[in-house]
Amino acid sequence: MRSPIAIALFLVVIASTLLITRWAARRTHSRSEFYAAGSSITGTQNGLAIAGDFMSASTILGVAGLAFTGNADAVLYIVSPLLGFTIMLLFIAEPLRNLGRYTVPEVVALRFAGRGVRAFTAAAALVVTIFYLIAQMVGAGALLEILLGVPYAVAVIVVATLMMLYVAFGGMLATTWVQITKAVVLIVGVVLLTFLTFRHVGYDLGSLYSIARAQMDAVLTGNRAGALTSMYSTLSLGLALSLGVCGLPHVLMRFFTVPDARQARRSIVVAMLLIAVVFLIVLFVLSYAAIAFLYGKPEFLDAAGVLRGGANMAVVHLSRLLGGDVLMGIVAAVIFATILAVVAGLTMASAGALAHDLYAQVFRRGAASEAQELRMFRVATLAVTVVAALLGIAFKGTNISFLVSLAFSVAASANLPVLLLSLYWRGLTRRGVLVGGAVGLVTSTGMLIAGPAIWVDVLGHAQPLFGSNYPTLIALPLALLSSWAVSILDARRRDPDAQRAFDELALKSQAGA
Amino acid sequence: MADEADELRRAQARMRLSLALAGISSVAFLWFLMLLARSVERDPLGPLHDVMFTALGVAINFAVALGSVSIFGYWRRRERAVRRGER
Repeated sequence: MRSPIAIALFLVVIASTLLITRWAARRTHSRSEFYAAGSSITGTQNGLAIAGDFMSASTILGVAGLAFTGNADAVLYIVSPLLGFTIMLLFIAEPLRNLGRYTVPEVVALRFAGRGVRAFTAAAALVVTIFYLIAQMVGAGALLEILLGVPYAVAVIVVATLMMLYVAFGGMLATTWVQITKAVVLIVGVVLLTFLTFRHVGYDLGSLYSIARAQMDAVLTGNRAGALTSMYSTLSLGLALSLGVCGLPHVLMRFFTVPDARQARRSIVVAMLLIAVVFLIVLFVLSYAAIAFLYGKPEFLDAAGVLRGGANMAVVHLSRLLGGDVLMGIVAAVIFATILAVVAGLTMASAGALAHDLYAQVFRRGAASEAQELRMFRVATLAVTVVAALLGIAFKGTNISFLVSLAFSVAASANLPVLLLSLYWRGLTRRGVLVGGAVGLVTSTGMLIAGPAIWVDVLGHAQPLFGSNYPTLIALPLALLSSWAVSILDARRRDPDAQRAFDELALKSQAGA
Repeated sequence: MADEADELRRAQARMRLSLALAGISSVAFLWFLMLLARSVERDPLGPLHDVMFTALGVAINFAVALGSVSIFGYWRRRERAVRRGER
């Protein structure tokens, strides 16, 4: 599938993002500039960046791929983030902006000073970002291998090197503008594909659905392996995909880049609208167009009659059908920009947790100078890059949706309960945070490992220990319940100092006072 | 002190509104999830086959989310106006 146009456009994307990094590096010197772009990003810009951070290649291509194979889970992936962003707006964005400066663990540590809580929340944030990063690296390697014909390992190393350059030299400012650029080119790409699809069907959306339905009847029998096949897995995946959004450190970290709570609220509204529009187009136009036009076309199928490169490549093949090699090159470049933007955000969050929370606050107990912390930030960026590249290569061929669902499940079960209870429940104690967070983390990862996707498919056992790949419906309530129970039984609950700390935090989180 | 007490009172009222909006959004979401699961039970391709059903469900959730965002935004603007009036 290697095309000179695609290669040229890939080089344009790389050159543009490196220019952005050079521009940002000249403006990034202090700790605040590195972690939070000096809180100088406007609400609209941040909304675009959040959209760029959230809409990963695996989500966009994966949704169309799911629909293409007759898996109705695609609808779940489209509708769930709407609830997640609504909850983020109502309960999280404003308090985070009012309380935090650089990272999410810092907000929890404001109420529970000391190293234990900080170390745990930073470690949980790292687990989520690393799993998400592995998913993106695996996706990047596979995509670039198919689109450009470069070996998988080379593709992973190229993406890893670029993300390291953006973050280590340009910090949050470069990451933000790479994400904004990606969001804009993604929206332009999706709108262009939609216009060409409409033209292909004579501007009659009804005929597109008629053709797609006829193709489904002829070719698809329906996928009975998806989450929607049982009420438990439907609710569990729905919870993970909606509430998990509110626990993703790389998305939450973006609220520190705006100057005030008002801009934080605006960020979410802009992000929500952009994400909704792109996701709706991907599901209701591009997925149906792929079903209508790609089945039965030998030029897009391999010898076994399966779509070349797998179902996830449905949108790429559709672009070739609609606009030839030029459009396919453009779409491939958009996907590449998408990958770069998401991995940059994830690296930023991981390096921030390592350098600011674990190194400066836990190990150096707040005694590290700004210069030492920034040096450590660059070392942490390098370390995250190497780990992500090695794991990306090691996990080659792993189901990307599974890795993403793992990140969302841990985010919903470990990060979100700790954050919400710290912000809103007066009775929470330090032990409640640690036990609740640990229960969410261990239960969600343990149940995922014991589920069919790992226990049977990866580890080769005959039967799974837990019958579902979706643990959130059990792990999240367990985390909340254990936090509550431990806090209720903890004598320190009535400690006047703890009560005062909560009152101060409540006032500051709501009023910014 | 009076300012702090006013801010906390406003925050409590806002929290009640937020809980109500989140509750409505969650009910709309869970209701749609259950309809989707039932549709797949009858026919695995159901939600993809029946574009009107899926589009309607997504549109209702989208409208509820947008409505929540708009009501919350209006509430915050009103709070700001009251705060300015107090000064």
